[in-house]
Amino acid sequence: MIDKVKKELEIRFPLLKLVREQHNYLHVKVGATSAMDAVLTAKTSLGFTTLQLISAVDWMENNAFQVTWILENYSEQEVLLISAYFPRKNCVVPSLSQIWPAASAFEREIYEMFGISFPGNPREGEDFLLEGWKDIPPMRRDFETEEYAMRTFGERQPREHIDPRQYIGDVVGEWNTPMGRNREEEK
Amino acid sequence: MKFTDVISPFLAWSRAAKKADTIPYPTQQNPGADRYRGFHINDTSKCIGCGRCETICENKAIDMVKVEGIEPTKGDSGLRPVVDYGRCCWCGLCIDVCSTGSLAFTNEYRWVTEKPDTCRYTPGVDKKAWDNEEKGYRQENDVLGWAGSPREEMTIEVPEERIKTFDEVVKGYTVQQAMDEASRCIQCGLCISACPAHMHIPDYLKAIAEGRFVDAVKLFYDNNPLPEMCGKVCTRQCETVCAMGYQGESIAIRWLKRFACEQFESLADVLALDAQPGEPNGKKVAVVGAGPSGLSAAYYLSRKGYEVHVFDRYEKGGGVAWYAIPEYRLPAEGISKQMEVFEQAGVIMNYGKEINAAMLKKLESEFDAVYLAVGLQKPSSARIEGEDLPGVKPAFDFLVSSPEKGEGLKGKTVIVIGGGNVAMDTARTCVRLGAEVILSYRRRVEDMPADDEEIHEAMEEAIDFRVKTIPIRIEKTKNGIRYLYHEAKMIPNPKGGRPSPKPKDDVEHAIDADILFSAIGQTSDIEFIPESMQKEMELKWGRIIVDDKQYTGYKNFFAGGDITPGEGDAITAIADGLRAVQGIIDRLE
Repeated sequence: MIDKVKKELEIRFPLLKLVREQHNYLHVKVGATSAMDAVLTAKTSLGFTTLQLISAVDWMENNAFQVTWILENYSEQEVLLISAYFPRKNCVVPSLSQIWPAASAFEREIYEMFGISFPGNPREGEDFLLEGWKDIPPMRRDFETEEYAMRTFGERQPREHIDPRQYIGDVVGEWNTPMGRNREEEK
Repeated sequence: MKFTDVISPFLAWSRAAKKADTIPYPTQQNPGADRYRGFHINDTSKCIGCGRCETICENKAIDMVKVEGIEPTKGDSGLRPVVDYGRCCWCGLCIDVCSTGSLAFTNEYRWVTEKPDTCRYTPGVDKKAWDNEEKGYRQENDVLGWAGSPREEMTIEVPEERIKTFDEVVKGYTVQQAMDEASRCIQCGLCISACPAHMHIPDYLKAIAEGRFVDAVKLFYDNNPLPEMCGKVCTRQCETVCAMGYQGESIAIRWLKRFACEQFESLADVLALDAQPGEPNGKKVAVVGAGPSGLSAAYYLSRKGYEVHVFDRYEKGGGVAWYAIPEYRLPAEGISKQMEVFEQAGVIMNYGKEINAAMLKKLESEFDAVYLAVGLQKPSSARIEGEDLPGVKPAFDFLVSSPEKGEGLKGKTVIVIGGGNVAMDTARTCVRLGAEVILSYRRRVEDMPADDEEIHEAMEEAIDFRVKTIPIRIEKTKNGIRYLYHEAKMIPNPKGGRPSPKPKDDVEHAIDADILFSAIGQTSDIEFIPESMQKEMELKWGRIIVDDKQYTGYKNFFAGGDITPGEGDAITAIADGLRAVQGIIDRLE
């Protein structure tokens, strides 16, 4: 059955790329401008009436966000994934909250985690999980988790810490060499 | 009022006898899902303390700490991770990257404690109720492809080509290959604990990864003055404990050392001021034997300002590395390149001087200290009938005689007895000289003391391996010799270790050959040490027993290398030399 869905989509979106196909699963990639058309076509003409999830991936090196809508045709037990790449800077993606009210929550979450804006979502910008978050969105790859943790939570007092490499060196007397090059010198 | 409104309170009562949908907490608890990311467990016997979990932790929730009862040993730092649950976000990166797969999550997620500081423990060491929990998130190596980047493959000449010449078999890395390979290192330092000389392995791998090859060579020379030789023939104990080797392939430390040395025409020029004689302190040290151990001691003593004289019976330095290791494994140019460094460092070489008892007495009076690093020179006896026949020769003497320059063995049949590196070297040399070679060994292939690589390469070179064969005797025939053997069965050793071979039956098998080389090891030859001195030293099986600074207990005599009991490889000999330097300095000051 998924064959039929694939053919239909290929006729309507000639630039569509197949990512993965299984007996009841299809993942396709479309251009950013056809993304909404593809999702709505799937809902209205192909029977994918349930929105399961909206997800995002940060492809920093390609300067793009990948947004994926995961749709389900419950009666046929089929899953359709429609992905599109959007430019990373000031990323804007149309909202689906007027069509599926459930989309609103996913979009708010993505806004909070990646900073992707969904104009048309009436609740956009409301806190979802990260109450009072001031930093750049934490799921963006340019977010430095370690640096943030250090800045926010500080040094790990009074915890002790031993570096295995230095410790082994000290235990076996690695730096007690005849010429006595010392470790500080190496640094 | 509707009818349902009247009846509904009674309908609710009808559920009273049914099983509740909720869980009666706390008598019953809701377990986490099968792959839930709960609290950590760590199999401390599997954990090697490499600290990879600590490095990857973005929240700095993991610290490596000393643990009571776990001491640092070869290949184990003795440190174990302690997890701070005030900072852990249960992302599971520590589990995904764990070198040995010892760290895991359980599906237990409940732990109530009053103070946030106590919400941390060392998994596997601090006993917890969930220690034996089988469910929870585990490392899925096959899914994640953790072992990921494999070792850079070394180019090795194909067997058909390499048996035609004595050219080096291993071709070496390209610059890109070497940098890629070195950057696989995770800088845990476990290798340092396994290297007898404790070389600065993580540091020089980092230098190679960053393209700083001069720095790498300088780091080698901090505690190993024969890096190129070690880069080719080292037994590489470092690689056996490499954290990357547990689930993937260990870093090619030996090949990288070789690579860095091969980048330079002259090591002496690279080291320049780092390999000069030290300020003379007026003391003289004699080193007997110019093998790896003697040279190491000589190099550092000279750098410390001692006047060092090295004596060797051969015409060149390098010891067995030079004489007994064939050209296809260790070409002569590499050795002479390294010997230049010793000359630059002010070591005075006295070649072609065999030390006898009278001369040793003289050294004793003329020098402030003597370092004996003569190695093992006398081939062991196979103790079989007919081993003094003219066709039977010691393999070691054959290798030392530069066979590649001598006449070939075309059309001859050669038998080699033994399973060590000398046996492999002899067999492979004979193949290159055109002979048909049969190798006879008493035990199985896996019991052979030779390097796996050498065994593997020898097998590729069409050497006929006759394993599980016990020699009976050698007979003289019209044109050569006849070697007779029993087939053996393996009797397992109840104490562990290698099994002992016993004849399977009385059937005598025979091979006719032209020459038989016996390569069953070497023993020490300490006849050059006068009786009076020997009495003062502690000897065992013809070897000199020394303390942890290589001191023999007799006057200012030190000993190291194969003449003292040990592992019998070059890097151990070098480590002995380093200890002797410290011992001599301590004793003379």
